[in-house]
Amino acid sequence: MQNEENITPAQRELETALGSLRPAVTSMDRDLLMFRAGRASGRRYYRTWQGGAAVLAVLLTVSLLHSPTVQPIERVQYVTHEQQAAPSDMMTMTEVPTGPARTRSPMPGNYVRLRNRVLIGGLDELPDTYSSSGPSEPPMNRRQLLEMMLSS
Amino acid sequence: MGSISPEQLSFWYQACGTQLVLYGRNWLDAALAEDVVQEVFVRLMGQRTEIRDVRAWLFRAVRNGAISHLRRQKRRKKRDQRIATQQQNWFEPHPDDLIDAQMAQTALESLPPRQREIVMLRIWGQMTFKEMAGLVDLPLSTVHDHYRTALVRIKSKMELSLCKTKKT
Amino acid sequence: MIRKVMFLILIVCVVVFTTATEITWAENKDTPRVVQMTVTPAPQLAEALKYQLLPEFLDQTPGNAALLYHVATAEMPNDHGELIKKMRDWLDMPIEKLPQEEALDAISNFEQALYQLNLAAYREYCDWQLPIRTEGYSLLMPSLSKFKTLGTTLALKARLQIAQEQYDEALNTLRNGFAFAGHIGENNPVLIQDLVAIGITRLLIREIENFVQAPQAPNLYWALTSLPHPFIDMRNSMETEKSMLYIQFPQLRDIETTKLTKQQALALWNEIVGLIEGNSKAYDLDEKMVVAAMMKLHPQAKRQLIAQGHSPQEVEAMPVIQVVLIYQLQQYNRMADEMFKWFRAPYLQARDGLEKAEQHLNQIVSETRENMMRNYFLDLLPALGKAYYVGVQLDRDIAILCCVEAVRMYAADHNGKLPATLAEITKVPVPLDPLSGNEFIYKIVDGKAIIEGPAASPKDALHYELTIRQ
Repeated sequence: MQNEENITPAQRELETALGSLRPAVTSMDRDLLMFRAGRASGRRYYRTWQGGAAVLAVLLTVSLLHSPTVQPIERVQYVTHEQQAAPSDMMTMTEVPTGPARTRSPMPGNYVRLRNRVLIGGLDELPDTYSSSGPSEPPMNRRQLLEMMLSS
Repeated sequence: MGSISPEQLSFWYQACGTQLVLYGRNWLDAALAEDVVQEVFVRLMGQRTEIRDVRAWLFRAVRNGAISHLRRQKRRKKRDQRIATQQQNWFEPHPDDLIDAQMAQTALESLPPRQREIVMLRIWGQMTFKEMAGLVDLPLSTVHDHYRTALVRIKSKMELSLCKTKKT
Repeated sequence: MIRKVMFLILIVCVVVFTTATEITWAENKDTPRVVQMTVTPAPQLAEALKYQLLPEFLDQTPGNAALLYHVATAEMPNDHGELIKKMRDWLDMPIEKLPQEEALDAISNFEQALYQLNLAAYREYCDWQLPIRTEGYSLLMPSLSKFKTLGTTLALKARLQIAQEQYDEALNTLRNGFAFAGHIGENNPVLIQDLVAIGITRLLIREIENFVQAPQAPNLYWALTSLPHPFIDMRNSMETEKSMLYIQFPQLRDIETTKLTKQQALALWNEIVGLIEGNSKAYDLDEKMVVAAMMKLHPQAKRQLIAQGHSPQEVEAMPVIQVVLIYQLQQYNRMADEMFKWFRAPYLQARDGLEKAEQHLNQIVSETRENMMRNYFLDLLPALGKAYYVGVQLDRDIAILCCVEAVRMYAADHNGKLPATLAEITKVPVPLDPLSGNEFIYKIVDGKAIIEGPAASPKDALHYELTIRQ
């Protein structure tokens, strides 16, 4: 903290001393909180979806009741190879932005996890096509790693 | 779906949960403060628009929630304030604490609510003065004054408590 | 009525079958591997060092083996995944069930690679020249899985040769294999490469078990005893592991004296988290989020730095992230010291100390998880006790086979009679169990010699049953 409030050194000391105190641990259940939060979020989404679907249903009903009779026209479209090969916009939307330029190979994290897996599980844990240039499965979190290490 | 992912929610919960409950106890008892904080986190998950400063949002939401709770119980307001300041420990004592937790709690309880709120936001909420001024809706200079005054009061209260302890 | 009875019988059969299967499965789950061997007595050879499992000095050629091993991997067939699965299955079945034609066909795909490997095995040294000092955890090691494949192929080739009674050829293949494994671990700064070397050696040890069961198999006591102890020395790679964090993040060496900006501190934090989580692209955490998470730990971290002699002004001027990183790094350094030191003592003396250090580490991790900010640095500490144990397990495999050969030697000198105790074997020293420092447990049961090496985990225990061929 910077001295924007012009307090004395003694008061600064008091501040530091008070800061050493840790708020009491709560009885809040994290997992229950996450469940409630997720459920509440899902309910809102569901209600929104329900609402949206209801509106669309009404609009559709109205349009069907009032639309003129239209003869269906059969159209056959032949797709060429060039058209098929064009990448979709979805790919660009989901692309992860690249980080800053690196002088080292891009995926160092695999070494730590792979090392620990081979340590615990033996040679069989080394994939047959191991390369540290990309992960072959989702990264493990600490809990999973620790559980794996403790289960040996 | 909100703009906060479950992982981020969990992150914020771990980071700020206990501080938010402590802050909520400025107005409510421990159980109600926890309820308010829980509700705030549930609301956070459901936020549709991106929140620029999640921490500030959380503290503001707890403040608003706690004050609303208090207003709903107008008849027992004064009694609740007494209960809020007297119930349970606010801090978890540890051997490496630089100050006696119980004495600190007593000193904080003796402060006027506004000063106590500002001290909590500053020390455990780690807020800047500018952020606090925005949250409590007071001029920056007033916030500074409250903070300095609060520290003076806490110091003298604790010195008094130490004298009493020595005499006994 | 008859239908009802038959139906009842059917139900009973199903229940009995499934129960029996479950029991069998449960029995196999955590039990030692039982090796039942029928062996012919074999005396110590007149020329004791006639058979060796490593190339002899006089037969070695000058040069660095690493270059030729890379040529060998380049000569491997592309897309050999299915083939390798079959080869592994063949290695899991009893030797008498090996489909020899198919195995020969599979191995022939690796003929060129094995030829280069043979040349490499006889080179006098192996220096991988891995750029560990510049690359750290980013080091690419694409050859490791290819080495695993070559090791599997060699083991299968040896097995096939034993099955076809080509014993000299089998010994040559095994010699190539042991040299290969030894080279993988030689001058090697990376722990995972040591683990691969150990894994390959253990495959070859299984084929030695098959070899010594051949009716005319020579006694390999001195060949096994001549192998280096430990066969794969992990001290070099452990030194590297200890330093890897600072190789990867050299800025951490001066972090206590360098003033970082908030952006620099955050960028460093994101890199570290990316390293541990193994996904460097995904970590671009918001500064406020990180600082908020550190709020609980920050006051304690500040106090520690001030207590260590930093001025309060200096500490206040540091970004929150830097203060917490210093605190956590100091915690890591203390734990690393506590753990790595034990690797410099012999296993038997280090074992208890390592266990306590790991318990301490688990306790700290648990505390940081519940109360404070996760210390990502601690994730980098390998399970050192396990690493050491894995190395000793290999030496134990070799030691127990030496025991087997010592028993064969005694039986040859005593008209096929088994020794009543290991102490009766006086011609050659009988190795101790490297895991316990005691003799292997030995007893005669129903005319069979039982040699056992107990372990804390049943699946790690050794159990050999020797029957002398009449």
